[in-house]
Amino acid sequence: MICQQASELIPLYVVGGLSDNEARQLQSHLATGCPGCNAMLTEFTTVGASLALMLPQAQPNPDVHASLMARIARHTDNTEPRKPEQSWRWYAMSGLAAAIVLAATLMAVSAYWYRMIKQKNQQLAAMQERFDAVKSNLNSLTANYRSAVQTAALLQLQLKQSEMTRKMFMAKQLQVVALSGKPVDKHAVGRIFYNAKTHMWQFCAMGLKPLPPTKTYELWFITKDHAKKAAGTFNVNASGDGMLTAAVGQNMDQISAVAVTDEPAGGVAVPTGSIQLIGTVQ
Amino acid sequence: MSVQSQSADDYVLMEAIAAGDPTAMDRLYNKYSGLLLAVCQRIVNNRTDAEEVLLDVFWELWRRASRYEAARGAPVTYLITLTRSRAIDRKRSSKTGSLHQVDIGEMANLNLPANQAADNPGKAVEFAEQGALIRSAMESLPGPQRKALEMAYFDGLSHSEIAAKARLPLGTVKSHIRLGLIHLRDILRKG
Repeated sequence: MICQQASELIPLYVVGGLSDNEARQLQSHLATGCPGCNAMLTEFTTVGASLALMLPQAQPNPDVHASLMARIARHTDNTEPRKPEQSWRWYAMSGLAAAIVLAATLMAVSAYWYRMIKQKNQQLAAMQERFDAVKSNLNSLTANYRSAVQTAALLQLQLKQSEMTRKMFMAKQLQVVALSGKPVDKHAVGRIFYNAKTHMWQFCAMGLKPLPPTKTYELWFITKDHAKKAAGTFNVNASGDGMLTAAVGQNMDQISAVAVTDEPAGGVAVPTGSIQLIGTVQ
Repeated sequence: MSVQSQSADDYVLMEAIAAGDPTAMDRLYNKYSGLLLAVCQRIVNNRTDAEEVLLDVFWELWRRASRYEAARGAPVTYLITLTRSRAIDRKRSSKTGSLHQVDIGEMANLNLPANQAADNPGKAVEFAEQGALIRSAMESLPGPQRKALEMAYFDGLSHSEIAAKARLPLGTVKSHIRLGLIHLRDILRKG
């Protein structure tokens, strides 16, 4: 800004009518120490202040004076005698102290919240860990429960089979058919216990070779007219033991022989495999 | 003659106040409180608020007298400028003041309060003389210039607010204020 522009703005500046941007530009120019423009500002400030002289004088309430002097007295009692240049230093130091206190307060507040958030996160992580442990235990208990249910069902089945076997062996009209593995496997044997009253029979095998999953053992009844009737399939455990229980629709007297063959898994209607056990009905 | 001519010993008082002398403050208050209260009343248009502003101004002066720079103008100019600024701040914050226009003719007929004139006869005469000079200068201004100047100085209105109220272009308002102040300056230089 040149002095010509400044001189246009100074009268308006005195009455506070410049825009913020204009005022900033003028203040920048005055801050350069331009003697002419600063003198002009002083003169127009005086002109503006002179306007006050045309106002009718007023008489302040005496309380205003009393209040002012009392306040000054209290202030004087609480402060050392002042030097003019001390004022800005006092304010500078006060400002610095206030800034330090504010910064310290902000740091303390920030540190407090940081600790609080960290503590809450740790608590949350611990709760999550406990939750995961409880969930794992619950899954384990659920698996154990299901296993126990299966075991109970198996035991119940075995108990039922044992009861049937007991009744089978205690029957008065019990007929036994012996089967042998000779000549294929001399260690393999089989027995059929037949209850003529209930027409129930129980087959037991021992010493048979365990089969792969694709195969199974199948029991056949051979009638006197050489017809072969499938009586059921069974598998053996690692020791070669197996068992089969069934009801026979016809009289055992019509059966001349019993045989066991190895067949594809699921069994077949007509024997295709080799004979593993065989025995005649007396 | 201007406000500068009244500051014969005002510089001494300002230095004493800056050094913490309550007696100097008491003398300065007695000398200028009537003038400054008039400025406050004219701007805030409320007696109670005006006296509160007056008390605030002198208290600020007591605490920050070292801010005064003699090179920037006479003490009384500093006091009037400070008072005007604080009064406008109060008016804008409280909204209690209502805009009213100064009627130069009415003001010319007003007299100083009797007790103040009796207590400070020299000051009363000096103020009366200068007041008459300023009133005369203001009366010599064209009406729009005078009103624009009063609205800007005493009502604290921005130039755009004055333009809206006076229904004048903004540039015209600025021109009125600039020319009005230059006219006053020229008269004061001669006086």
